[in-house]
Amino acid sequence: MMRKTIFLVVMCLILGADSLSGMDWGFSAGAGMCLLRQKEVQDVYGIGFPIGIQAWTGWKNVRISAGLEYLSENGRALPLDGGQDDFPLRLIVTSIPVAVYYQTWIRDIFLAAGGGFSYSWYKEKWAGLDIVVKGQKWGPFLALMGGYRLNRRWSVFGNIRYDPIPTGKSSLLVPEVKLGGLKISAGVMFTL
Amino acid sequence: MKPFRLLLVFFLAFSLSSLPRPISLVKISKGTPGLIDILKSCQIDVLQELETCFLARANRNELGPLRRKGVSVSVLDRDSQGKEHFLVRVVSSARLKVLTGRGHVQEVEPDLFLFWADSGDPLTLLPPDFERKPLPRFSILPFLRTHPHPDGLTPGLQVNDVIGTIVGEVNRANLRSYVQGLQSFQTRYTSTANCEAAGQFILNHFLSLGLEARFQPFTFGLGISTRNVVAEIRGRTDPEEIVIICGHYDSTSSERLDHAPGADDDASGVAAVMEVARILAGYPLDFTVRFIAFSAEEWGLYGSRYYSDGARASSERIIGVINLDMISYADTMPEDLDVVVNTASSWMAERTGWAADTYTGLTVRKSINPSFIVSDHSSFWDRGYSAFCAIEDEDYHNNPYYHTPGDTVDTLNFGFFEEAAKTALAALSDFAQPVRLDRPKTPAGLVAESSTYASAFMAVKNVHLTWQAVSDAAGYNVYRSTLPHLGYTKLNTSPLAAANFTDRALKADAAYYYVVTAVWSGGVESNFSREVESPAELPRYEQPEVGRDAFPTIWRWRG
Repeated sequence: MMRKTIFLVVMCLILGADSLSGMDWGFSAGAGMCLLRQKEVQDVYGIGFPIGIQAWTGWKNVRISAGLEYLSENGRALPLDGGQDDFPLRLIVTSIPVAVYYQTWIRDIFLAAGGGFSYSWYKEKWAGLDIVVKGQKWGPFLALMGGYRLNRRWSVFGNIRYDPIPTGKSSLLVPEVKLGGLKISAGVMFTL
Repeated sequence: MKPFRLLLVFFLAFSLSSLPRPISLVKISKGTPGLIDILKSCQIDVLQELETCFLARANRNELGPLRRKGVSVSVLDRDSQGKEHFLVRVVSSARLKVLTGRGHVQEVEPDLFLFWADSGDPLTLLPPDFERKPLPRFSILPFLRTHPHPDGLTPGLQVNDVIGTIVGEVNRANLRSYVQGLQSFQTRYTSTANCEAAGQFILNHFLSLGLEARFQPFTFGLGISTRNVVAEIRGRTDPEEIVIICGHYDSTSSERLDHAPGADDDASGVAAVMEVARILAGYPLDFTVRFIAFSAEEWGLYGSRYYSDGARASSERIIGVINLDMISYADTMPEDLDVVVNTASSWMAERTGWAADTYTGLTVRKSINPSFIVSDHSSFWDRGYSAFCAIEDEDYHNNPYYHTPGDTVDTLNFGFFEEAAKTALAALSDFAQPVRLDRPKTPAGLVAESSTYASAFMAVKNVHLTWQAVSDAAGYNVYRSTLPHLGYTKLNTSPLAAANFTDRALKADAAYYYVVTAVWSGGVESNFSREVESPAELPRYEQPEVGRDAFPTIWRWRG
């Protein structure tokens, strides 16, 4: 039900924006790295490399975007008291970020600042063991974006986003596990 | 002038707030979910566990967080520092009146009162015919745990045919003779010469059996000197593992200085200890057995308190304590034997019940009652050891001769007494394990080391077991339980070739208990080794000193 609702909201944003005269809309795809906010979680999984696609629409100084992001990381359970065994882990985080930006253009360069919410599904699996932790939760994020228009249709962009992805779950390592952090990404943008 | 006054008021308020806060003695009611965890997180000095509450010392700063967490706390003595408090059992309003004239009295539970005095020695103010226990001086917080209840668990234990033979050696005539011998001292009230002579009588018995035996002298109250009697059979496999069987040889009555025969209370318990020592002296055992006759029990458990304090201070590994106190009077027949435990010792009641069913004809009635504190097992509970009290009736006032000059050998039921002694011997033998010559040697030196591994959400642990190889063993079996000393299940499908084993990917926050056996090629199995525990305590993740977070604090989301 939740997935359907989110899909409908995204489609309404895109189609609704298209119906307004003078609006741009397009798609973007990017990849980057995620510096996990919690050192303990980063010790388990290292730096993450998320990929994502987004649909966006812009009108004057406002840009609205919605997308899909995917992060899949391999990690190793931390030995807390000197153990030598190896427990491989896999973490998958799928997010739908929805954001509103204020943007400004300086010739072919645009700069944008904004924020929004992301809805994330996460799954941690212990390889070879029957241990899987799953969940989903809303979380806020803040973002800065800059780009350069190569031609009428194509642009390149860079994005810095602070997206903590709270889970509401506690663990031995941290009082509340947060699977996000500072995400730095770059990609290409296509304007219809 | 106004700023000066303001400054003065501020200074006075600051001075008052920094005054040392009195440490109160409080009652913390049980019932709050996760109470033990709350007490641990607040580092409360818990002195006594009872059936419905804990008694603890705390100042106002410590009580605030407890109350905020929904814990019900009531203050019993606002300023408890420098005072000795006694728990006193009072069963009638007339007796309560006697007590209230001597000092402060606060009801803690039905029939159980806290007594203390603002000045003077409370031990001398407290009438001697009141059953009492001084509150422990040390916090029992480190020993408090939430224990799963072993009820209905498959015992997973070994039947040892040697124990059947051992139990058959209990001699009713010997029991009568030992009780008669102790009664013949007229009184064994601690502080009398007769009590000391009775101690010598017990020591001589142990020495005559060829056991290592000694007095353990101590002083209590206002300088009263007396001594426990301690004898030992050293274990053959893991001698540092100790099982204790005990009773108290002192007695009391309304004519305590001249005439306190104390046949049931507790010549019966001591006589059973003497008989058990006589029988076990002829058998090699895997673990050490100590036979103890305590003194000054009737004064307030001082003998067992002295002993258990010393045992804890020297980190003795006491598997369990069997306290025999009044095991020979039967108000109805057939009489059963009550085995009273606290929550942490409930495994002992289960195993004693199992041993009684397996090796004797007596029925054991198990009772979990942390408020049953007026005998020597309670001193061991206070120091974190498993212990139980075996008694003819948990309501010991069923014996009309209790603490009277009429408590004599002719009031005892020796049929029941013999069965009770057999049950105690069966339980003791089950814990200490007679060596079986037709089987492989019991593996010695079992050690468990845990390694915990944490992911972002979960943690597991591996438990690595090592033990000394048994020379003629074809292999080994490893058993695990989630309860101490009960409910073992075998982990390996075929015998292990090496003297080590790793149990992988267990719940990190659960306790596990292990024993191993050696196996001959035909499948004949040894006794269980000593039990080792992988505790439920979780290690902390030690973070690197530098760079606690991946990026500066400014980036952290504080919502």
